[in-house]
Parts: sequence; structure tokens; C-alpha cells
Amino acid sequence: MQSDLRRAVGRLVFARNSTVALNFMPLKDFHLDVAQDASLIMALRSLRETGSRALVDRLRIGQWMDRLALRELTEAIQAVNPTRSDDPASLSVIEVGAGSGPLFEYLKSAGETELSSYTAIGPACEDRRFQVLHGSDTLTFNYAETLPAPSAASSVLVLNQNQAIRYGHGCDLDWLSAALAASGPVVLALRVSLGDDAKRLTVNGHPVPLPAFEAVRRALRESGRSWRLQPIPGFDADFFLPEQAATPELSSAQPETGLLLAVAGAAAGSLPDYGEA
Amino acid sequence: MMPALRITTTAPVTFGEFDPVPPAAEGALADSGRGNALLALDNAQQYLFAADDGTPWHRYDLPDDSDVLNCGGYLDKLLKYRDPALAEHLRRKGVSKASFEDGSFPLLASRSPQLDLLLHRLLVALAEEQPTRRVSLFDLGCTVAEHFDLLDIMLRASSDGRLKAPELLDYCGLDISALVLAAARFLHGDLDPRHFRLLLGEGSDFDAGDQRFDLSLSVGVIHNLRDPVGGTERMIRFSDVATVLACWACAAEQGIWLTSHHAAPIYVFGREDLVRLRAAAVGRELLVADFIPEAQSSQQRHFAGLSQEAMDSLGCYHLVVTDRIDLFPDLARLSL
Repeated sequence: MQSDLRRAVGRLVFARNSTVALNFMPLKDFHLDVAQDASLIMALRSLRETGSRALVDRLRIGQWMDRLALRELTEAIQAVNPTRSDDPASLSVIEVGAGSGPLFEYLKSAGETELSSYTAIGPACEDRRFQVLHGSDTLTFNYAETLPAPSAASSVLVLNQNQAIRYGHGCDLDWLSAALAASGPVVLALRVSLGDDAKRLTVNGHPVPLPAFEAVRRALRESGRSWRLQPIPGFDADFFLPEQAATPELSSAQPETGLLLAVAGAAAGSLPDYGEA
Repeated sequence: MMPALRITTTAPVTFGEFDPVPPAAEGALADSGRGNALLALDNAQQYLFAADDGTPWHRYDLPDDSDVLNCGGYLDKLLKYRDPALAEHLRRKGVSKASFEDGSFPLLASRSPQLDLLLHRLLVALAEEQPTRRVSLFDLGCTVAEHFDLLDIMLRASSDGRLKAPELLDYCGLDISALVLAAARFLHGDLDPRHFRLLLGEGSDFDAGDQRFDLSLSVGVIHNLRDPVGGTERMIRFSDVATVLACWACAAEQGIWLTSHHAAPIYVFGREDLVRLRAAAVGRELLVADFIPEAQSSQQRHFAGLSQEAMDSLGCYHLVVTDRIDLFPDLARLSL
């Protein structure tokens, strides 16, 4: 843990082709992850409502979608979505760790399936932002602090630790146990250590346990369900503070991290880049 | 059986701070006599970490985009304005400088709400004088139209709900960013588009045509225009009752082009420019509600590469350009 480090978060100005900064303007929390999320939500809604890709393509929104793994999560959600005989194209999602809802916004316009029901699970402090960002939209949703009773196996449960920890939400939650306890279709997005179990500080100062990938794989394999996995080594690894100063000669000594996408449910086997647990 | 899942928030570790680019005491890129806006510049948005002895430890980049910063910043403001506790505070304590600065809601003491407080005075007066007529308001650099929200809350709080922005205002917001305008539209989707208009464009090019506005507002955006003085003159001319401005000025005859933290040119007005604005305001006065020296600003480093010496020679006027001096007996005329 590197809590004794000093931090500067801000916007730098450089003379073009120079590495010498001319100005540093400190930024507030609301300029950081929440600003990226809110801008992405607005750009996606603009795409959905006007059909214009101008905002999504012009802004550096694509980079942010990558860090939230929105495409990968949507692909996984659609694969495990159980087909309802009365409405084969409908999709019901419960997302734990939804932040301010970029995945919700992405799912609204994901195409193949129509989002018929969505519930965000998050802390009370995030409720109002969620309501302001999504409340005026046509698609209704629920926001809850606790996961409702498993009403139906027809909802896809998304355990989005990758999103939650950006806000410091659910850092002490046992996401793996939650995934193992689910009986319906489930998608888990979990930051893992590629070596031993680790605990690291995020750049926002939140301590996050990173379970060892191999231990997670073993637990899923031994759960009795058929889980399929896609590990993404090195995924947004700099979001965590290294144990040692990041110099070129030390970079290989840093414990490696990655994102693990794990799915169980209907057509999980159809996902091309996933393997058995 | 799935256990009850509850997401809680963890308090973050508090890091010590450091300043990676402290301003030079003097002799940096610009002083008050010459600009620095001709440099080709790049931006980066970064988390920087250093050990106690200053050794660089880590760097994390966020996608850098001025529109994203603005969208996030102004959305946060709007969110805070829509806090029911803020509306309740204004209902209980009244809409006044005292209730804005009593510390209950620190945001209210910042520049933008202070200017809205001036607008509120004008709106209440106009609503009383012409109760059947809407008041037209032009908002230059409207971002997510958060001024509309605060004005609405202030009007309701000060009139026991009799005055409401959606019923009183003919609002027209102009911004150069399609992203913030999209956000403004989505966040005000319930308003009548005939009385809540959003326009995409650069302020210098804005052609009001035959249309006139009762009121206009710009919180610093006049400095980002291609033609800062000309654009402001036009805004003053097409506003019949008042123009409310945050206006940065330097202690020099002529204005200077500097560079903003967006790595874009930004113009700071000189005395001659303020004289031009006064000339455009035929029959009206430039009233000073406040002057904040840049060195006391809550958002320092807004200007890139300024020395401390140069920063000390800049400041921001809160101005009301109006002939309704009766509404502002507490404000002094700007002495030029």
C-alpha cells in the first residue's frame, strides 16, 4: 500500500512536442471518473436519439468505453440472456455496482435485444446522480441499495466490480462469493491479480482486494456450474498504484493485474473468446 | 441461496498533495504586458504520484477532452442545485447574499451563483412590472443550462412557488460544444422547447437578427470568443434591460491574449476594452457587484504559464450593465 505517496490530479499544458509542463490546473473529483461516465452517457443517448455518431466518435469516448469494458459486457449479457417464449427479444438486467449507469445507457441502444427491465444496485449516495442522468429518459429503471430477492432467473445478474471500484463502491464486497451464490444467468467483471492474492490502492485511494486469477478459476470450476471465462491481462493496469516506483527497469517487477470476465447461463458457450473455467 | 447484497462506499486514503508545475515568481511565459497565446500546446489529464522526496512514482492518464471536463463540472453543479435541501435552505433563509454566503451550501458563494443572484433581482422586478409577459434571457456559454435550474429554485423559493422559471423565462442558451448542449437538452427534456431554446455556435458569430432579449448573461465565456470585445458589445446591444457578466481584466490599457488551461487562446480585457463596453451600453451604466483578484480565485491556474507577478495583476469583475440602477442601489459604477 502506498498511502504515504503524494498525489497531484489535474490538467497539464505542454508546449507541443515537449515533455516540460507549462501549467497544472488541479481538478476536482467531479472532473474525473464521474465526468467521463456522464459524458459517455450523454454521447450514447445522443447516438440513440439522433442516430448521429458525431459525439461518440469525436470525443475520446471510445477509450472510456474500453476501460469500462462496455462492449465485452454487453456481448456477455446478451449471450447469457434466457430467451422468453413470450418476448424473445427482451432483456432484463440487474447490475450490481452500476456507478452512474454507463452500462445501462449502452444496453439501451445495444441493438439485438430490447432492454425491458433494469435495476441498478448501488449506495444511496449515488441514487440522485443516477436519477438526474437517467430520470428524464423514456426507459424506466429501479435503483436499490440491496439486491432484491431472486425473483426470476429471467434477469441477467451483472456483478460489475470493474465499474464499482472506480467510485470506491463495493471495494470490500466478496464479488466472487456473490457470483457463486447466483443461480440464474450471471456476468462477473472482476479485477484480479495474475499472481498471488493482492491488495492494491486505486489511483482514487481506495484499497481493493485482487484475488488471484487461478484461485478464482478454481472456485468457479468447482462450483458445479458451467462457467466460461475471458481473462484480459494488463487491462487498465495503471488504475492501481504499483508497489514500487514505475521506472522502466522496474516495470516487469510489478505484480500484474487484469480483468476477468466470467459468465454462466444460457448460451455462454457461444461466446467466442471465452474458455472453460 | 443468494445472500442480500449491499454496496457500500469506502472512504479513500487521503494522499498528501504536491504541485508539479508551481508558478514562477516572475518572468514566466507571460506578464501583464504581453501575451503567450501564440504557442502550440497540448493537454493531458493525469494523476501524478511522487514519493516524499519528490521521486516520480506513478502516472495514470484519463482521456483528455475539454468538453468532458465541462460536461462533468457543470453536471455536478446542476446536481447540487437540484438538491432538495438547497431549495429548502433558500425557502427558509430567503434568497439573498446572506443566505448564499452563510456556509450551508459553499457552492452558492462561488462566482456563478453570485451572478445568478443579480439576475434574480432583475427577474423578480420584471415579473412584477409585467406579470403577463415572459422575460427573455440569453445565456452565452450555457453549458448544461444549469443557470436555468438555479434561477428556477431561487424564483420558487422567493415567491412561495408563484414564480417558476419554466413559466417566466424565454430562455435561449448558446454554446460551442455539442456534448454539453446534448446534456442540456436531455436534462431539461420536460420543458417547452418554444421557451427553452439551445443553440450550437460560437458567440462572436451569434446573430440575434431582429430578436432582442431583456437580459443576457455570460460567466467568463466572453473571453473565449474569437472576437471577445466585439461579441460582448453585440450582446450588450441586443439586451434591453441588463447584461450580467463575469469579466476578467488586467491592470493595463490594452487587453492581452493568454492561454487557458484548455490550451486555447483566452483574452483578458484592458481598460480600453471596458471603455468600449461602456460606449456600447448607451444610456446604461457598468455597475460593479464584486471584484475577485485572480490570486484569490478558487480556480487558479486557469491561465497557463502565468507568473505569480502576472497573476497578481489580473482579476474578475462581476458586472451588471443596466439602466435599472434603482434595482442595484448597493452597487458602484465602474470607474474608468
